Formats: sequence, structure tokens, C-alpha cells
Amino acid sequence: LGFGFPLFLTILHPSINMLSRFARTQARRAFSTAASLPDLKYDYTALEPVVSAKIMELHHSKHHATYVNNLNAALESYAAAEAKNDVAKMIALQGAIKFNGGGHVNHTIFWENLAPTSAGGGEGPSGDLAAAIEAKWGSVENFIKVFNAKTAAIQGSGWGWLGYNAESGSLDIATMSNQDPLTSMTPLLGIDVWEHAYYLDYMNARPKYLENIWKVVNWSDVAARYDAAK
Amino acid sequence: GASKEKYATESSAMTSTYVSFNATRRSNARFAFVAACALTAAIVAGVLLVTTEASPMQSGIRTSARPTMGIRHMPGANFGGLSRRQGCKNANLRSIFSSAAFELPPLPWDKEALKPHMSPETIDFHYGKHHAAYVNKINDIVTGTDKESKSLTELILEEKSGGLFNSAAQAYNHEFFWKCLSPSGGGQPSGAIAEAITKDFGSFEEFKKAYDAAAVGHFGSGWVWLVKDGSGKLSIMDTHDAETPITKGLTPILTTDVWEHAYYIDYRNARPKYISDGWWNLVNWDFANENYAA
Repeated sequence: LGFGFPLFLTILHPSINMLSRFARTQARRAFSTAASLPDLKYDYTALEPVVSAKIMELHHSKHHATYVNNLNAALESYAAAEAKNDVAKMIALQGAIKFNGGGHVNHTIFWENLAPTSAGGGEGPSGDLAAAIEAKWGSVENFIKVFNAKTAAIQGSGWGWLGYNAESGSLDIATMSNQDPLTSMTPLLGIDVWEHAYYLDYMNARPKYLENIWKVVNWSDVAARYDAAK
Repeated sequence: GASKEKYATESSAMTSTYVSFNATRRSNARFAFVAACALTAAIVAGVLLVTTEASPMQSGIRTSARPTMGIRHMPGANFGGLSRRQGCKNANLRSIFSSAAFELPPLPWDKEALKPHMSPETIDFHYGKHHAAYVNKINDIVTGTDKESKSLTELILEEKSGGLFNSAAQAYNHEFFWKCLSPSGGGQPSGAIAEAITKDFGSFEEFKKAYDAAAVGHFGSGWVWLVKDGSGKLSIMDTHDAETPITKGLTPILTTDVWEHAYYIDYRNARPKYISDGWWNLVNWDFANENYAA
């Protein structure tokens, strides 16, 4: 027994390993909707001096990563509750899914809405998108003015959005609080005004951050979303 | 002999005349000085009277020892008159000549005093920019209106929501918060609040656990509070953005600011560390006892 059993385990070990890895993959597949932190298409330093590397690193690798981790934990708990038909538990988890899921959805869009100036960041909209903005707000400049005023006025934490209203076929500006995702319209461009998005660079001067963020807005991404939404 | 005497008398008379002449000059000067002082005092008093007559003189956050000048709207809400022009004895040139209805109240301690738990840089921004901006915003809105003469508490309870409510509530919350911090704070509570915490939470550890959970778990901007209800029972609540417990008739005992600006400079995204290293090392149990006794 002292000899045979350990030998038996040693032989079987790789199979046990494979089996557990298989089980884990299956489990992961069961949560195939599990969120993962997307990579940025640019370095943390790429948006300087508008947004510092200090902020980008914290914002992406800490804040967004935390939303992803917490969302996955909440979704796992939700799946377990659902399997047991524990509706009360499912309801209790809604808050965590909304906070963290919203955070994940919003930031995923945000990173793509931004680009370094070397990759077209800040180069104003053109084509249909520009035409639609001008039709609604008179000029891109005026759109930015209105957007910034509404977004600066958000109490506490939230986001300013340019969205496409499918019903009316028009563009609209909306503000959302906390990490509530924009669901009444198709989100095209979101600007994060949680303090963590700008505090280390701009301190309490949210309007100054809003003035500057347009220098790294990736209008071609916004236009692509607009085309898809139309 | 006699002439000497006379001379002596004369000279003494002269001396005394000289003395009395100088005395007169001195007393004239003295008189003029006193008159000038009196006149200045009269002018200052007159200016004070004229510029402050229209509004009730109320000082900062009240303790139970002081009357609230009729602002008591809800049981326990005896915080009337926050940040109004400082009381007569604190009147300074700025308050004499400024037309602002509300002022940024002074901090209870030097901004260096909370190191290393809260940096002077944080205080510079949190107090000097954020808190100040709320006070300025109130003044922008109320100056020249009949709301100018209202107290902070009145504005909060009457406005209930909107821009003026947000600014007034945030001004209140921040003024309260600074008093919840002390360079000699931290550690375990003592006195009535310690007994009440044990009674209502089971133990200080249980209370701290619940407070931590509320502080760390609060999503987005807001505040965590230890409050007392009408029956004297303690509870923990968290409020969103500018919301404040006095709107619910509760008496605030302690608060912790969990807006990101409260901790981002010192702790970045690590709110739990801000609570454990910042808050629990600075908590002012004396102020808690004051509020509990009120």
C-alpha cells in the first residue's frame, strides 16, 4: 500500500491534471459570457498630455479590471442561484451585476472611443456623422459646448453620452449616473466623468478635463458605431 | 534767603507750570488719542451694525450648549445656522465688508495635522477647492434673493433636490466631516457613544465591520453615516452624492466622505485602505459624543 498507491497516483497524475483542466474549461465554457478585460489599442502613455499614463494605468488595470472581476463573481453567484431557483438571491445580485456590468460595458466602449493623436485622435468627424451633428447642433463646436455643459453638470459620478436614437433616427446627448449603461439609445461616444477619470491630472476641474478630452476622441470609431446603428 | 525761597518757589512754580503745561499737552494728546479711538470704535460698530443687522448672527455647527435661534425644524436637527456669517466675536474684516451670505468655515485643525493618514495636499483640494466651490455656488444662487437669509439647514430641508440642495447639502456634509476628523482621533471610542455602540451593534468590532462594509460597498459617490434616530437608537446608513440624513429626521453622529476626491490623492482607487488607514486613525470620538448628547 505504501508503495503501490503513490506509484498509482504518480502514473495517474497527468490524467488527473488533464481531467481537472478539462473540467475547468467546461466550467469556463459554461460561463462563456464571462467578461474579460480588453487590451487597449495603445500604450498607457499614448494619450498624454490630455490623459496621463498615471491615470490610464489606474483606470484600465485597476478600475476597469475590478469591474470585470466583480462582474464575473456576481455572474457566477447568479448562475448558482438560478440553478437552485433562488429568485430572491437572483434579485439581490442585480445591483452588483448592474454596477460592475455597466462599468465593464461603458469602459470597453470608452477605450475605443479614444485614440492617440498619432492615430487620428482629435481629428473631427466627417461624412454622415458630421452632417448629422451639424444638422442637430449647428456645428461640431456647438455640439461639444452643449455636451460639455450637460456632462459637467452631472452630480457625483457618471457618464456623458452621444447616442443614436433609432426611433427618431436622430443623434441625442444623454447623461447617465454611476455606471448605468446607456440603453435607451445606441451608445456612440461616452465620456467618463467619475473623478478617477481625471482627478490626478485635473483635480476638481472637471470642465477643463472635458475641454481637453476632445483632443483624443477617436471620431472614426464613433462614426463606425453610427454607421452600424443606422 | 527770601529771594532764594521765592526763586525756589518761582522755579518750582515754573516747574509745576512746566509740568502742568506738559501735562496739559500730554493730557490733550491723551484726550485726542482717546477721542480718536472712540470715534473709530463708533464707526466700526456702526458699520458692523449696518452690514449685519439684516441677518441673524449664527455661528458654525452647534453643540447642545447653544441655542439654535429658532431653526429647529426636526427633532435632533439642531444644526441651524451652519456656515452663516461667523458669530459677532468672530467677525473679521472680510465678513464686515463681504456681501456673501455664506462663508467657508475654518478647519478645526492645521492642514498638516492629519498626516500621514490624510495629506495636506488632499486638504488643499478637498477643502480649498471642493468644499469652497459648494459654498460659492450657494452664494451665486441665493445672493439677492429671499433665500439669502436662510440657514444651511433650512435650505437643505426646503429645497430637497436640485442644484441649490446639492450645494447646501454638500456644504453641510463637508463641514460636518472635518469635525469628524482629529489629529488626536482614532482608536476606540469612550463615553456615552461607546456604550451606545455596544448596545446597538453588540460590540465595537461588529460596528466597525458594518461601517466598513457600508463604506467599501457604497457604489459611486456618497457618504457613510453613523446616525441616531428619535428614540436614540444608532444605525449606519450610506447616502448617495449629496444626500444627508437630516432630510430623514435623523441626527448625524459621524460621517465618512467616500467620493473619490476624498481619497484619490492619498490612496488612489484603494478605498478600503482609505477607510482602514485614513478614517479609523482620525475618527473624532469627542465630536461623536457631542452629537450623541445633542
